[in-house]
Amino acid sequence: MSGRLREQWHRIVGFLRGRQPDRDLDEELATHVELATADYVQQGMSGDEARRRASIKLGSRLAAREQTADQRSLPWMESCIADLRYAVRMMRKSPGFTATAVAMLAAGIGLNVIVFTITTTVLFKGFPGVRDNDRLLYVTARRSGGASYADFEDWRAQARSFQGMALVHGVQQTYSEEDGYPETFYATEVTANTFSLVGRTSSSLAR
Amino acid sequence: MPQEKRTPAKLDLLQGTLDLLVLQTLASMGPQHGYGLARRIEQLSGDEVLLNQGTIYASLVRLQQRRWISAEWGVSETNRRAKFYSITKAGTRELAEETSYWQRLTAVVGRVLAPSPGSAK
Repeated sequence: MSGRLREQWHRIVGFLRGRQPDRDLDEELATHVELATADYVQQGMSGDEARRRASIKLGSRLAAREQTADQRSLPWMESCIADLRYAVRMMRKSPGFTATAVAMLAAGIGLNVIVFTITTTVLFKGFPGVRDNDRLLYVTARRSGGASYADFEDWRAQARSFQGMALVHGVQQTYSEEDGYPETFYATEVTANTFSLVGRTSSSLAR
Repeated sequence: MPQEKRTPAKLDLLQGTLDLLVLQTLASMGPQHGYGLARRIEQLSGDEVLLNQGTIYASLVRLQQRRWISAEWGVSETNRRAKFYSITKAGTRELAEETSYWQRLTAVVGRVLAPSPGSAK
């Protein structure tokens, strides 16, 4: 294991264990000041002045403790958690705002889910019940769609790139029930080969 | 706690450089305690480096985590318990790598920053 990986491992373990007082470090820092003081005294300073200089040289002991504690943990993770706690506290404090925010988010997410679900179904999933959607091609003669039956017959007879061709045509039909109420149905007329072409029996599609 | 004033004459250490200086000092001087290291680095740098001596302890923790140095309790010159640090085999390898990297880097930066003969001033 490389050195830097080891460091990360130690940091993770330290983070999970939580911050603990570092008595070893306290002792080291005390020794540090003492040794520095002794050096300064040897250079001819008075005891007090030497101790003062030694302390200044070492710098903030709190900062040193903080830095080593940071080195034994994951400071960014700790601050993330602190931020989350703060957020939860603030949300508890103002439930009205929280409710509004949650409602807005819920509406936004819900709307997105609906739109995306519809989009995938309509645009990408292909027709339900059709065997090979990716081999299905929609051919029209005009931009608005559709082709004459004569054209269709010619195409079917001459085209070589297709396994088969079927005509699909949307119509409106009005039927009356026995008691006389007429009702309009939107229907699709298809040629007889349509269902065998897309891999379905007519009974499973027609309801 | 009073902080030492930064004078323009002193150099701020670049990120990561302190680790390298600690390794080098341990490699050349043998086992040292934290204060000894701080003093040594200051002396060797001709007191040109601005070192908040307390920062050396975070560096020592980091180097231990990476197993580039090891620590052992001993007794200081003043008869106090002190932690003595020494460089490990992996640390020696790392030092060699980092030193050659440092030399390449400073050589390149130095070359780029050097005033070219054609330019004014």
